[in-house]
Amino acid sequence: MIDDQDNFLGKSLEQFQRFVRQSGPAAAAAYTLLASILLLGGAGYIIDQYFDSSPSGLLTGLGLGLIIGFYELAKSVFKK
Amino acid sequence: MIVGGEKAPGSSVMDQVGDNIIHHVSNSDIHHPIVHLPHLFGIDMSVTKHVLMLWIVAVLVSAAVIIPIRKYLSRGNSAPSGIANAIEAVVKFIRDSIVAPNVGPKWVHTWTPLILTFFFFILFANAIGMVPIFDVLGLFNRFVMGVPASDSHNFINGMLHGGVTATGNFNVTAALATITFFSIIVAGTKAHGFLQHIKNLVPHGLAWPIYIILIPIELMGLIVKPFALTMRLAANMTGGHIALLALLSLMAIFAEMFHSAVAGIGVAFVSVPMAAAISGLEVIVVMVQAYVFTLLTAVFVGMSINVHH
Repeated sequence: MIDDQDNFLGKSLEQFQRFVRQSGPAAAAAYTLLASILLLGGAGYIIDQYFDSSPSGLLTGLGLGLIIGFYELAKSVFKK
Repeated sequence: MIVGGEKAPGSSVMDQVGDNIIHHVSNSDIHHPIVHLPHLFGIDMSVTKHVLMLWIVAVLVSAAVIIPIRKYLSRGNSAPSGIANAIEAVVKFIRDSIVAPNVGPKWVHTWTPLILTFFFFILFANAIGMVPIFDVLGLFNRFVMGVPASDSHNFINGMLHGGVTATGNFNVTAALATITFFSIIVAGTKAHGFLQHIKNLVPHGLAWPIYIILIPIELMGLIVKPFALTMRLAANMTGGHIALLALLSLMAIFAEMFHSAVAGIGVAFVSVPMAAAISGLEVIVVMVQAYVFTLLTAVFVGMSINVHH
C-alpha cells in the first residue's frame, strides 16, 4: 500500500517535472509576444504625445510589436 | 490603509477608495522617507518602504537559506535534515527541472546559483508582501499606544505609508530583469565568444536584404525579453493586492451608498470570504511568480547558449 502511494507520488512528480520542462519555451514565447506589443505600443503612444502625431505612432508601434512578438513565437514553435 | 484613512472634509468614501488602494500598493513618498540619507551623484539615497523591505528580504534569505546550508556543509557528509532538507529539494527541483533542460548539462552548474538566487529572493519578497505586519503594528500603535494618525513624527506612522511587496515595484523588477539581460549576453559570450554571440542573434545563410529586417527585429527582441520579466512580475504582484483591497472596500462603499452600517455588514458576508479566497490564491501566486521568473530567465539564458534558428 505504501509502495503504491510512493509510486503514485513519484510518478506524479515526474509528470509535473516533465510539464515544467515542456512549458518553459511556450511561456517565454507567450510573455514575449505580450511584452513586445505593450512595449512598442507604449513607445508609439509616447511618440504620439511628444510629436502630436496621434494615432500613427501608436499604430506603428503596435504593428512592430506584433511583428516582433510573432517572430519570437515562430522561433520557439519552429525550433529545430 | 490606516494612515490613508484620514478623511478630508466633505469627501466621500468613493473619492477615497482609489487613492487608498494606490497608496497601499505603491512605494512610500521619497519626500517622506523612513530614513533620511544624503544625495549621492544626484540621487536621493533615502530609504523608502520598498528599500527597507528589500533589506528585510535580504536578511531573511540569509537567515533561512545561507545559514542552514553553511551549518550543513560544516557538518561534513551527513544527510541534510530539517530546513536544509527542504532547501535541498527546492534546489534539486530547480536545477534538474528548470536550469538543466534549458542551459544544458555543460553550463548547469554555472547558471544554477544565479537562478536559485532569483527564486529565493523573489519568493521571500512576494511572501513577505502577504504578511500585514505593518498594518498590525499600526493598529497596535493607534489603539493600544494611543498615537494619533496625524503624528507624522511617529516612526510606526511613517512605516504605514506604501505597500510592503517590493516585487510589486517596477523599479525592483526592472533591476532583476537587467541582471537577466546581462546574464543572457554573458552566457552567449562564455559559450561562443562575444562576436559569435552577436552573429548568433540572426540565422546564418540568408540573403542580405533579409538581414536588414531581421537585425532590428532581433535587437528589439533582446530588449523585449527583460521588459516581459519586468512587467509580468510587478503587475501580477500588484494586481492581487488591488483585487483584495477593492473587495474589502465594497463594505465602506455600500455602507455609504445606502447610509446604513447594516448594508456594509451585509456586503461583508460576501466580500470578506471572497477576499479570503483571493488571499488563498495569492499564496499560490507568490510561489508561481517566483517560479515563472526563474523559468523564463533559464529559458532566455538557454536560448543564447543553445542557438537554434
